[in-house]
Amino acid sequence: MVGHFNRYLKYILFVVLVTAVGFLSVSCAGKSKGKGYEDIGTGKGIKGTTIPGEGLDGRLYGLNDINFEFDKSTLSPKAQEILKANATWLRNNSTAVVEIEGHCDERGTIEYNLALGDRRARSARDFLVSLGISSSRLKTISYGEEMPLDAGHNESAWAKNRRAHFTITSK
Amino acid sequence: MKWFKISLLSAVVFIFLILPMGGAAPGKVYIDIDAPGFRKFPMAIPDFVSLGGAVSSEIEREARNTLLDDLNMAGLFKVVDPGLYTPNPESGKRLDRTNYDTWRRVGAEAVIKGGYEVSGRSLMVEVYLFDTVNKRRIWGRRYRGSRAHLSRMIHKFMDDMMMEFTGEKGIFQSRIAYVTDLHGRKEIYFMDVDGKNSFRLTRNTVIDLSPAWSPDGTKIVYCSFKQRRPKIFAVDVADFRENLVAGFEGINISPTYSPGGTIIAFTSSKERNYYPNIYTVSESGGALRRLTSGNNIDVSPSWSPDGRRIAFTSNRGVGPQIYIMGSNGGGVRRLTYSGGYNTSPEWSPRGDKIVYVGAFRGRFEVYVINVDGTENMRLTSGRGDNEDPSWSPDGRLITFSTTRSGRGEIYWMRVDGSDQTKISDIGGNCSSPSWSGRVNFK
Repeated sequence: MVGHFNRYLKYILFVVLVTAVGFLSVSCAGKSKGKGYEDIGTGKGIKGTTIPGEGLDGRLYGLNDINFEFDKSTLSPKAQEILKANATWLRNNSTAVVEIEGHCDERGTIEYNLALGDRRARSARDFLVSLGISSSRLKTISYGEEMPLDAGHNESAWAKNRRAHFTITSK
Repeated sequence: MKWFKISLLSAVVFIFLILPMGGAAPGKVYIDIDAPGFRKFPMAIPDFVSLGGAVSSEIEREARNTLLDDLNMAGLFKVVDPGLYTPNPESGKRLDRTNYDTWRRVGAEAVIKGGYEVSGRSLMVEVYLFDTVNKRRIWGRRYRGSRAHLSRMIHKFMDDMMMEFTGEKGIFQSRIAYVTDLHGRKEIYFMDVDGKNSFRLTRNTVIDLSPAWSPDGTKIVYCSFKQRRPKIFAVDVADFRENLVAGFEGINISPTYSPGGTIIAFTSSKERNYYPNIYTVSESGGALRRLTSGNNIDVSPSWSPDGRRIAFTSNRGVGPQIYIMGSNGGGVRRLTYSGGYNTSPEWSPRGDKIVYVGAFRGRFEVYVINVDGTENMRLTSGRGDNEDPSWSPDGRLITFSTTRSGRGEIYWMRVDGSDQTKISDIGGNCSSPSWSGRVNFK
């Protein structure tokens, strides 16, 4: 009887250990998402601010960046999904005014990239307007290639930099 | 019959008296710079000598180095090995005379003899130019100014000498504006063509981009984020008075002056359909006029020197290419067909060629093409990204930015891509050089 119990105890301890490790790794993975913010998964942070990123429940919270292909301002299906989640946030925070920044990677002409960033911001805005968000709540600006997120000179950095980013200008 | 005789006599008088005097002004043209296969003109440059007052090896060195750099940039001259005439065989002798055989013996067909007199911060420089083949003094010049402006005196001399040798004034009194992030954010500087006298133009502590000179060299038009969104300002480089040229809704970018200097072409996305198209506006911000239309990106306009056409970048096809249109927006035709990404056109002051940037094997390179679309030629190759080309005022040189050694630097090169030479800048990552027209240094 005691021998059986010991074996079960080992199993139980093993399961508890695995669960603890799993729990920790999932919550650490959650921490690395979002833009330098600590994601605590509920979408709500200190003082009720909304922290963008993917929560533990897999849903998107707050206003998230969308990315683009090189030299394109068209919205990929993934970008459209993110914009739909952004629209949800905007409906839930119905007085907030946001600015959509269009950005490019460092390759190519400075002037062309300022124009492309402008197209990217407007592309995102037009989609949100089509989802029913009032255009007066959506300002746009372009920074071209001037303000990269990642200063690297490789495809991984460039892919991050080709983005539309949302900032809240008034609540 | 009487009238006929009078007019015949007048014609004869005109031919024999008036015409030769007219010919004396620009001087004999020694070098036809457009002739194929011309050889470089061998020149002797002995050390500058003190004409009384202090002897300064620093002045002698700077005068000589500036002269050598300018002669190199001119591309027409070969300096005869100074070792053959160092020490200066005529030091202590009169500056305004020379023994022609001394120089013929070392193979020089011309000699430049210079002298200086420095007192405190004032400097006087005397330069004489001799033709050793025809054994005559071409001219002598005296320049006065502050010690700090020695290089500019040499540039003045070089411009005059180029006029003498080629019939066209030199470009050594001109400036190159550029952007650097030395102070953290991008700011605009300008410098002499040898990289000296770098001067900071903007102190906006935000991003300043895309400088372009007015044709008379007194102003620079540029794009700045200092009022949150990209807007276009024109600033006087002497007194820094500035005015807003374009602050319309959306973006206001890539400004450029027309050859007449009164209107500025630029890109704006102010219209309801919100696509960046090309507009013109007066320097004071009025008389806005749209030139291009359509759901495309149209940027980077560049005028032809006669002001009748504009080259620009457009992605109305697939990917950005160079197009040409009339200055009223009509008659758009595509210029570039090689490669999938061609931008940044700049029309040569000579009117016949356009320089631009094309993506090639994963990098950006500078290309040149004839205005009729023929002779597309890549000028840079395989080291870093080469961008932002701009023409010298005589259309014989191109300045551009390059990252071939890591950080962004400003270079110049010839129209065939040869002699790619770094211009010393103020530091930081440098980009967007813009070469002014000819200026007269005071």
